[in-house]
Amino acid sequence: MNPRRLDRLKRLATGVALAGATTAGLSCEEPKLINGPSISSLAAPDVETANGAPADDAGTTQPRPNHPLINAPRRPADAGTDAPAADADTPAAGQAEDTAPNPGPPIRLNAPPRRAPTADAGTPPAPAPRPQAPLINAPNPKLKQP
Amino acid sequence: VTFRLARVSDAEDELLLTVEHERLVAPRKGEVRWASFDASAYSDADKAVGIEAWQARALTEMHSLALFTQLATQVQLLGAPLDWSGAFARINEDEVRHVDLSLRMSQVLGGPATVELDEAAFHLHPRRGQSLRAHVRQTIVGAFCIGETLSGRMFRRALQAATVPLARDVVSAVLVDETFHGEFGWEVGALLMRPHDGFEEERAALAAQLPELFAHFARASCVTGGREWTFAQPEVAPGENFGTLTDEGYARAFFEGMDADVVPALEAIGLPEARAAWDGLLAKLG
Repeated sequence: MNPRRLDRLKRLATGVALAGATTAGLSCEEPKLINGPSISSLAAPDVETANGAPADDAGTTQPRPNHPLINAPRRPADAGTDAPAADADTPAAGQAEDTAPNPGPPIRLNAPPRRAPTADAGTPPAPAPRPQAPLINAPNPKLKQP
Repeated sequence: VTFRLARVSDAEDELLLTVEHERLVAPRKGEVRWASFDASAYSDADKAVGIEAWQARALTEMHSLALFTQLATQVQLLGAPLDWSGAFARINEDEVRHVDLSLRMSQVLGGPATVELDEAAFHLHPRRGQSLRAHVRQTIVGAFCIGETLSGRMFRRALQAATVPLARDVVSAVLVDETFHGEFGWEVGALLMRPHDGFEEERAALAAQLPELFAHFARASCVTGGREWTFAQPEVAPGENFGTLTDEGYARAFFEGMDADVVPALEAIGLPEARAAWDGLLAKLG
């Protein structure tokens, strides 16, 4: 990545206005829920198990209001343009989760019959230790799981 | 829950949704010359390598589609400017295209036009106790800043390796999109690093995860040895090439991408810990 692009990223990250940039960035203040807490205070939403049942401690999360969000991010002053620099090797070619009740498993038109329940099917499995696994187009699917 | 993903719905009548899908998955630039491809001109062994690679890509691209679709909603809940949603709309369109292209490549080579998916492998739930903003930031850094950047580099090398015209068409179509995705990721990643109340705690937590993230992407990129060893291995297998690299070829792209793009840019957006994390992984790999 060339120095100009790196410098541009630094300015983006530190909030220095980019002339003409359309993405002035997220507000430094979180949007608030009407009569409700800030989004980040909601922590992580309930984690559901693979079979749709709530995890054991799902009830520990805070209740969420059903109000819509005020979409009012404040933009820092910005103006002007700094066209992104292209790398030499760049080709020219160029939910906090929803507050609604869980509707259940998605509809899948091509879904095969579900697996037969196993002996311990009544015990919801624990949530995955790493809920977010970055993805990459690597060649071997067996290597995808951390 | 597992299911088999098909390209299009099974119906006797032509469906408008299918028509619209076919329109959408056409490359943004150029064309894919499906009709002129003659599978009989290539050996079964070469085609088998291609089928395996494009099936794997269909799987990972579908995972990307699911993750990015969720992210598109989450940034709306954070009050992001509308252009974030606009850009995400393109990205999700691109991911649909990539899954479709991958499945079609598998199909024309004699493989299945479907891919088996496991719901549990989508990893769509935020980490418990983590704020939405921190979750979005972490996912952007992982999936876009690192993942899409490396992916773009891999597809660039794969384009150079591809000898089959059809494969060049398809890889080119994907590469056009991936280049934008990487750029988008760094812009959004940088914007998400602007300080706010409680930011330093979230930033430090993300920085502490970098060694784990780097190690994960090393595994996902088929890294099994150190840089010197990797670079001494063949990047491409002999024979006709359908846009694939050897395992070591993907690993090589990982080393190159981390050195040239990922680590310097993470430092630039406010994660100076990236350098030590990278040095630590290199030392472990030998």
